[in-house]
Parts: sequence; structure tokens; C-alpha cells
Amino acid sequence: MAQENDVIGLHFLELWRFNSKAAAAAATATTSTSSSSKEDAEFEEEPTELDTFNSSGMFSVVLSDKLSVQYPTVNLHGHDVGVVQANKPAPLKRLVYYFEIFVKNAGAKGQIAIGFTASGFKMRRQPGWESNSYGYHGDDGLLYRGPGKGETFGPTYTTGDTVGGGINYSAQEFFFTKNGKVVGTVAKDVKGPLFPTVAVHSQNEEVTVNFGKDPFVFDLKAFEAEERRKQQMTIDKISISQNASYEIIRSYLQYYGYEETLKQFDMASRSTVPPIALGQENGSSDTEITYAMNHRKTLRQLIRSGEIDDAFDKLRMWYPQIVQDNKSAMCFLLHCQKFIELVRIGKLEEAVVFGRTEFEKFYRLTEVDDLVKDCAALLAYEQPLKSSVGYLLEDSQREIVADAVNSMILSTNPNIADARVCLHSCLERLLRQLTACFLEKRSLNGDQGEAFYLGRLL
Amino acid sequence: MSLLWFVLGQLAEIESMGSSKKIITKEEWEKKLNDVKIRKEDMNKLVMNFLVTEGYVDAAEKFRKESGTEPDIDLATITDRMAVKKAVQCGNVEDAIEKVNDLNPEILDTNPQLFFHLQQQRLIELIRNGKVAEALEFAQEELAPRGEENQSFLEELERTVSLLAFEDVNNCPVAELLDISQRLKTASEVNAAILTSQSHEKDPKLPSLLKMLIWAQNQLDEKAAYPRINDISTATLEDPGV
Repeated sequence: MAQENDVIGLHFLELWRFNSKAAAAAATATTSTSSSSKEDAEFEEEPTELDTFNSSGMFSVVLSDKLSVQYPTVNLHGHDVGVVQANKPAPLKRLVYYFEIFVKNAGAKGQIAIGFTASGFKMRRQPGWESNSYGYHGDDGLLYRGPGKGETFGPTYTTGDTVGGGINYSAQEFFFTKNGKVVGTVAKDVKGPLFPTVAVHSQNEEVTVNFGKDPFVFDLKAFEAEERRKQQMTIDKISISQNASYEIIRSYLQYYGYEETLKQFDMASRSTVPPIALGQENGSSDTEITYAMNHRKTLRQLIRSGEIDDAFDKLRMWYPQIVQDNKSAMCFLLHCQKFIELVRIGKLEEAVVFGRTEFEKFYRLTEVDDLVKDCAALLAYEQPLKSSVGYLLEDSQREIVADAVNSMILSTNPNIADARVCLHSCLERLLRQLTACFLEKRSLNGDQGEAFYLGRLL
Repeated sequence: MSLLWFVLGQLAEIESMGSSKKIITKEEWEKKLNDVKIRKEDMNKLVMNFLVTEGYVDAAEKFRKESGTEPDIDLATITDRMAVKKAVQCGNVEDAIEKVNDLNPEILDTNPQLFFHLQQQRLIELIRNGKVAEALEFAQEELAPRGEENQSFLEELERTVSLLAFEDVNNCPVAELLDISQRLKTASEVNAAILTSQSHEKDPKLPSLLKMLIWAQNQLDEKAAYPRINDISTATLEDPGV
């Protein structure tokens, strides 16, 4: 079989493998706490407690909960600050990082500070007194950043107050809050990891830190939503051609062979006021993409309803070149699906017989042995749907096979020189570009900020 | 001569310092693109969202069957919403108001601006049809009291009524009110209000994603030269310009 066609088959095997890995990861992550499991694939460690090793020793005492700090002795010298950093730097790959402290006791002088410091910070100094550190101080309400005087910033704070410090990665600024309200922001002109930091500086001062284990006093969700809204407003100012969306939807329907939808869509588009002029300039690409539309639609329907034998028959009749090489990735996908469908309807014995004859020849292809194993594993479970290979019984697996056949048929179009153009719809290419731009932008920005994840917007 | 070469050399140096942009070749970029996995299911949702929000009810119904994607709203409500929209687009504003109230009387009760705009559109249609007496009566009885409540309503009312003062309305300073675009504006305002009342977003997501793509590319332009997509409708990768 032509090598170029395997580009397509292998691409869809890769998609399958992606689903397989996601399913395996979900199965092992039984203790998944957050609701956002799939998109948070880029897990980052975050501060959970105070660092008990690297602290200012006798000038501060971190209590056994590792979330409270006390200043025990009489302060003798201006330098004798009790500073404690978090055990981990603030995570970067998000819109905002935030933590809070509660002032249990403002002590003799209330010289408490909250802020962020770089990793080599001198542990006898208030955050903000040294370069690469920022601190909002309780006794004067000033903001300190590097050597020099503090700047007018916010109110003072004392016993009973909750004070928060945050990094807004999108605006590249720090912000501080008092009792749930933002008191001020300051530009973040430092690179590299930053540790949430608290300091106590006079007798009996005591604060407890909340790294997010308990709900914050400050409404972080609302703050993030507002940040996103601001960004969206800038984006909304960009103008695009009104027809762009229509054309992209249309080519999506054409690409995947959603023929009935397309018919209705075109009919409705023609009767809208004002009517939408579609695809007139690029009529040529239009015919390419409507290529074999009806065949593609039929095959998708067959595969989506699990009728793999029928799909095979039709392919042999209409596009023998696609199924001619029995060892191709495409045939592998179809055979696996046939096996899966047998398991689905409970014909296990038939599945075993079919699997033995069919998988035999693929098992030697080392690149697919993991996928063969997944299929075979279906037989091991009484309730395969609930097992770690249960994903095979979901619609998404049929979809992969249907999409693979669709792409294969598109590539039989003699006008198409490179099979790779048949791999993605226009919409998918745009979304891939969008995601890649966000990732690249972030990586050029010291990994700061959140990535684009389509699923979150839906 | 030597001075010239010196200056040119300096300039070249300055230029190379300025363009500290990272250069990403097409090959490297394609590798990055291949690492991006977009779920088919999510794309289907995006398409369904567009069909539903823009009111392609028949297409949405077919798409549900062909792709197995569930719409995020009861499809029956689209038909009603589109009927209202169509009524405004065709100038049957009274009919539209009645239909909105059948759908959910709260929509107009809680949205005085929308109600005013619909009434204004009704006035425009009366003027368009040459029903001068009826238009005046309607303006005085229905619209003027609302204008008293709100300064911007009053200004709008005055602007609309001034259509009556011109012989050739198609060439007067407020001719745009008679334009089809005014109907479309009002229609899309009603459409948005109905969607909001159904706790659905009023705009489809796809256009804003396309804008986001342009924005993200512009942002990345500042730091890197990479293959862009300039033509959204074909989504072809350009060669990276340096």
C-alpha cells in the first residue's frame, strides 16, 4: 500500500492512543479532587505549607501545622526579622496565583508583611527590603520593592485582618487584598520563581497562612472572571469578516461529510436577511471538499451504528484501494472496531475467534501492540464499560474510525497531491494554530500564564 | 568610504540587536501543531453552538443526528426565537412583540431599552408605510411617556419623529433609520434578549475564537517569526516572514 495513505491511518492510531492514555490516566487518578481533570494535564506543584528548613531560625517559629508563624523573642535589632517562605514557588501556568494570611495577633508593633520573594532571599529581611522582593507591610500600609523607601499603597492591617497577595500573570503585576478587597497593584518586573512570603517582626506577632486549603476571603473566581473579561474586550475589538464563521462551519460540514446538515444549513443561509454569500471566490476548493460526500456520509452512518461488516463491504466496492492492504493501519482500525462491536453486543465467543485470526497478524507490528492489548483486555471484564478500556466502547472510538475512513476517502481524490491535507478540517487547523500560539507565547514569557483549552470554553 | 562602511556595520549591528525575535521554521511549527490535540467532540460542540445560537434549527436537528452532538438548548425554543427575529426583519413589529410576550412576558418587562427599541422600530415602520397620522399618534401616546423617563430614549424619539419632517426621507440626515440595517439591529437585539432569558449566551463562540486567533498571532508576532495563518477561511500556513 502506498506509504502516503498510511500517514492518515497512523494519524488516527495516534488519536486512539491519545484516548487510551487519557483513559489510563483517569483510571489511576482515583483520588482526583478537582473537577477539571482532563484539561489540567499540565500539573504544577504549588505551595501547600511553610518552609521549615529555610527560615530565619530563632526569629520566627513555624508552628506544627506548618501554616502558622510566631515571633517569639523581644526584637533587638532592625535586622531580626522573622521571615518564612512557602515550601514551593508560586505556580506559573495559570492566570492568577493567590494566597492569604490571617493576622491572629499583631503583637507589639504589628510589623507584619506579606509578599513575594525570589529563591535566594536573605532570611533576616522583610520582603520588599531587598531587590527581587515585594512586600505589603501591615504597620504602615506601604508597598516595598527593593532597597529604598516604601510607596503609598494601601491601608494598614492588624489583628483580625485577612490580607492576600497575588500574581496576575496576564497583567504582569502583583496585587494585594485586605479583607477581601483589592487594595492595590504593582508592576511585576522580576523574572524567575517567586515564593509566597510572610514576615513577623515584633513580640507576639502571629499569622496563619492559607494556601487555598480553606476558602479565601477574597473572591478569586470573580477576579479571574473579570481578568478574562478584560482580555475578551480587547479581543472583541478585532473585526473579522462576517462570513468567516459561516464559511468555516460550512467547510467543517463538508469535510466530515455531514451532508444532511449541510443541505439544511445552505438552505437556511440562502433565506437569511441579508443573504449570506458563500464560497464564491474559492469555488475550486469547494468541489474538492464535497468530493465523495455521499459515500463518506453513508460510511460514517454505518460505522457510527456499529455496522462494520457493511462498512467494509462498501469500502471494497467503492474504494478497494483503501482496504486492499490487510495490514494497513486503516484495516487495523476497522478490524479492531469490528472486535469492539462484537464485545458490545455480548458475542464474546465470536469476538475471541475473530480476534485470534485478526490480531495475530497485527500483533507482530510492534507499533500497535498496546492498542491490541487494550482491545483484548475488553474480554477480561464482566462490565467492560466500567474498566480502564471502557473508552473503547464509547462513541468517540467509533468516531475515530469513521473520521479515519472519511480522511482516507478524501485522499483518494486525484486532485489531492499530499494526503496530509486530508487530516484536518479548516476549523481544526485554526484551533490548532490558536492553541500553539498560546503555548508558544507562554513559553517565550517564562512559562507564565494560562494555556488555551477549547474544552474550558464549551 | 571607510566611514560609510563603519556606519553601515554599526547599523547592521543595531538592527540585529533589535530583531531578537525567535525564528520558528515551518517544520518546527508543524511539529508543535501536531502536538496539539483538539477533540472532535469539542469541535462538534462548537459547531452545534453556532447553529443553535444563529438559529439554524433544521441544520441543528440534522447535526444532532449525523454527529451525535446534543444541543445545549431545547431546539423547539429556536423556532419561536427565529419567528420573532423574522417578524422584526420583515417589519412586523407588533407581531414580534406579541410573540416575545407569548414566549416569556418577563423579557420585555425587565428590558425597557429593548422594549423602547421595538416601539421605535414600530414607529419607523409606520412612517415607512406613509401612515403619518397613525405614526404621530403612536409617537405621542406610546413613545413620548417613555422618553420622559429616559433622556436617551427622548433623543432617539426626536430623531425618529424627524423622519416626518422631510419630503425625501431617503436622502435626509436620519435616512439610516429606514435602512434594512436598522431592522437587523433591532432583530438581533431581540434575539440576544431571548437567548439571555433562556440562560444561553447571546453570541456564538466561533467568531470570538477566530478573533482570539488573530489576537494570539499578533501577540506572538512581537516575540517570534513563525508560520501564520493569514487567510482564516482557508487556514493555510504561510512561510514565516523574518
